[in-house]
Amino acid sequence: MRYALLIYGARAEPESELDPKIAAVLEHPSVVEWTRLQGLASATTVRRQEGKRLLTDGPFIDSKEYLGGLVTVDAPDLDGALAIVEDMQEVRPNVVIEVRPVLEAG
Amino acid sequence: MAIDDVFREQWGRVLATLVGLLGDIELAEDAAQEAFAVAAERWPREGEPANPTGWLIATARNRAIDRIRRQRVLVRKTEQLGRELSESGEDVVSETAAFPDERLELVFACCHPALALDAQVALTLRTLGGLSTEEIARAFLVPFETMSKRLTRAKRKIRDAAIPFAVPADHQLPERLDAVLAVVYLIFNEGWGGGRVDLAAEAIRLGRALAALMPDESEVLALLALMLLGDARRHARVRDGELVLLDDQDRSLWDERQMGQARRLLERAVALHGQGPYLVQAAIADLHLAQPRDWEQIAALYGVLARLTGSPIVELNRAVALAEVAGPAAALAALDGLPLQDYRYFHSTRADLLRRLGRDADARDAYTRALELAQTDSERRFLAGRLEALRRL
Repeated sequence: MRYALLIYGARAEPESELDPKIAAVLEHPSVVEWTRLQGLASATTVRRQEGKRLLTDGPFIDSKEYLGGLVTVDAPDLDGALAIVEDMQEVRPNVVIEVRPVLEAG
Repeated sequence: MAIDDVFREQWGRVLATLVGLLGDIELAEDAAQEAFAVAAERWPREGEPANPTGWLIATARNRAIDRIRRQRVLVRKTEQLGRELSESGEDVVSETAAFPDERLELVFACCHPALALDAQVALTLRTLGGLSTEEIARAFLVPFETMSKRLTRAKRKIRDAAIPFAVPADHQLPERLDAVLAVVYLIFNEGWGGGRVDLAAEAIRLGRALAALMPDESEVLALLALMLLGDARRHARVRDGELVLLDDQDRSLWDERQMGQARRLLERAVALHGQGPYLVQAAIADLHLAQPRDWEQIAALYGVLARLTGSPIVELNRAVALAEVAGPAAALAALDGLPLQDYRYFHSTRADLLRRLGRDADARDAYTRALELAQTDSERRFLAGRLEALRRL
């Protein structure tokens, strides 16, 4: 079963280099893929309004926590996914992580 | 035993095994309900089968497989199960087959911290306790629709997020067990506070089941002991609709047999070298029943409990015990600075201490504040009575 870990942090800008401790967590065999996102200033939000495309400069949700990246893991159950979350928060205690099961095709 | 009681006894056991077999609570529940309906129709006529549990599980399982075949439900585990069975050509599972007891797996799934607490409580009462959605809704004073949605949402989350149907590994067990015990104790206290006795009885049933399933977990035994000790005084606690303080209770109304059970559990929990918060609470509850009360010991145990839990309410209780050992002035000092300004018992306790110190005006203020915060009529009458007595002096 696949889970998406959506990682939120207070940082509007990513660290320039991937922290080796985070890299070690991402080495875990259950991690399928991962993506780090560029800073908020680079975000564009797109909506449709009355059939017309409307672009906004900035992230969709304006809050104190920003989506910084996402990790897809393959785990037997929720506890398996939560174990990766725990490893991640050992390194970055302040990030908030939303765990969402991935809708499998079919 | 009346057939309804047999069903209540069997429900959790049957459902748990079905969840293990079918991999989905909703599916298991529907199948179990069908099997119980067949039993209700057949058993009175044909007599109870030799192995009622096995019969119910086998019948429910066969019904579920029929249904899966009809609906071709796309649930991995059930598909696989259907396939295995059609390949073997063995449709009817023998009712004498030994089905594993998976109630523990079920309770840990229902009390998984990824579910909201109110959902954990409702689901535990539904799946293990065998209460109907309507009964649970009534017990928690919420509309049927709300409770029904809450249960459905929880069952689907367990399925969709693959919340494990398993007993947690050793390193996670203490934390996860705490969550289970918290749910049971919450159900028990709900039964007390609102005067709805049924929930207290439900919590004790759950506690007994857990104690049978985890006989070596001291906190499980201790929680059951704690609930039994509280419940044993049920009939003495209220007289003519009025709350009766422990010292004024008619001891002949206490359930001695139940207290004996509780003490044996407590002894076993101690023998297992338990030192968790439920054990300390049960030990305190037991000390409270002795005559005269050993206040020094009680105050000391409240001190232990306060360190374990960091709870200001425990500090409040410690102060009450301290008043008996070191006098009301020492107790009043212990209350100072507790963050309980909106807690009714904080003010009623202060009021009582102030009254004993002869500070009547301060006592009246504190009783007045407690009265403002009182939640039941019986509390209000009690506090108003105290206030009246002070005015007459």
